[in-house]
Amino acid sequence: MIFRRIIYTTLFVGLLAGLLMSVVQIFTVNPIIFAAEAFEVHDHGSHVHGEEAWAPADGSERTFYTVFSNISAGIGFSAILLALMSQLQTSGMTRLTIPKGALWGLAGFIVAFVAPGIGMPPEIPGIQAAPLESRQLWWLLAVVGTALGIFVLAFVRIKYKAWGVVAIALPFFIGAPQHDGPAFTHPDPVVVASLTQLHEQFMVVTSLSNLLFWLVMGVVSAWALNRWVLRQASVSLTHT
Amino acid sequence: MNTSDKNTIQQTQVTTGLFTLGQCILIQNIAALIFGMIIIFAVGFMPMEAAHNASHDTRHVLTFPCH
Repeated sequence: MIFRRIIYTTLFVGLLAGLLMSVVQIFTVNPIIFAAEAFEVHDHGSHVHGEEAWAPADGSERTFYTVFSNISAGIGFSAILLALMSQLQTSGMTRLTIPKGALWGLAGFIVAFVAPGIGMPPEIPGIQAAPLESRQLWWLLAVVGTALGIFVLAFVRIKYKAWGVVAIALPFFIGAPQHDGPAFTHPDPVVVASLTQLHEQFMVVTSLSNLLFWLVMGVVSAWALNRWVLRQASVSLTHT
Repeated sequence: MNTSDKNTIQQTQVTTGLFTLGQCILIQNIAALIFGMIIIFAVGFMPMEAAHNASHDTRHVLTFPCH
């Protein structure tokens, strides 16, 4: 049962990648998020609720949920990664190795972080941005377009490769939803200056965290795929 | 059952019930892909306020659109 093996493997890969990223995040990213939140003016125009929704208490409870969410994201992303790796390997289109796993991780980093991040840079709390739904839609478009594009560039015959470039470029032709006006609306210019500085630091540390997250997922997934997931299936199917 | 006896070099089709082995693997890989997408939706996109608050810091670090 390849499905079951992939799911078991994602639990392991997700745990490992999620925990590693959490360590980096707790020391580098979260302090920036908390510092930005301290400046937040508590007057969210869009957040009007009858009653306050549940949120984890600051401190260890919030950290716990962040680690849990990171591991979940690791499980989700590595399931997608392993499903694609498994399909390409069993159909004879590639033969995974550890270095190729690192390339897959790098591709995942480009697909899920760099591409959407070029259109919409990583946001810190309090930053002004276009409506949520349009940003989520564009995120999806950028991720799917870049993933398809890299797939075409890497695995499809040379005469179709131009379509890969088209798929990568298309979301940027459409254009990411942008917010008109200043990024920070805090009345104090000193606060705006520190928020701008925090935002620049935030982009650096999130890039490093995501790169680590994806490289770990790519390498460990490739290793586990050969080691366990396709151990028997590959015998009968790799030669085409 | 075996219809590919003209070409002996071609790998014999392993059938498991309704599907060939290749189809069977494809279906399982698609299932794993969907499993991953559902989890990513839950972590990164689920609009429910409590889900957003629980995964807030993860959404920020992974650049899922937030707020």
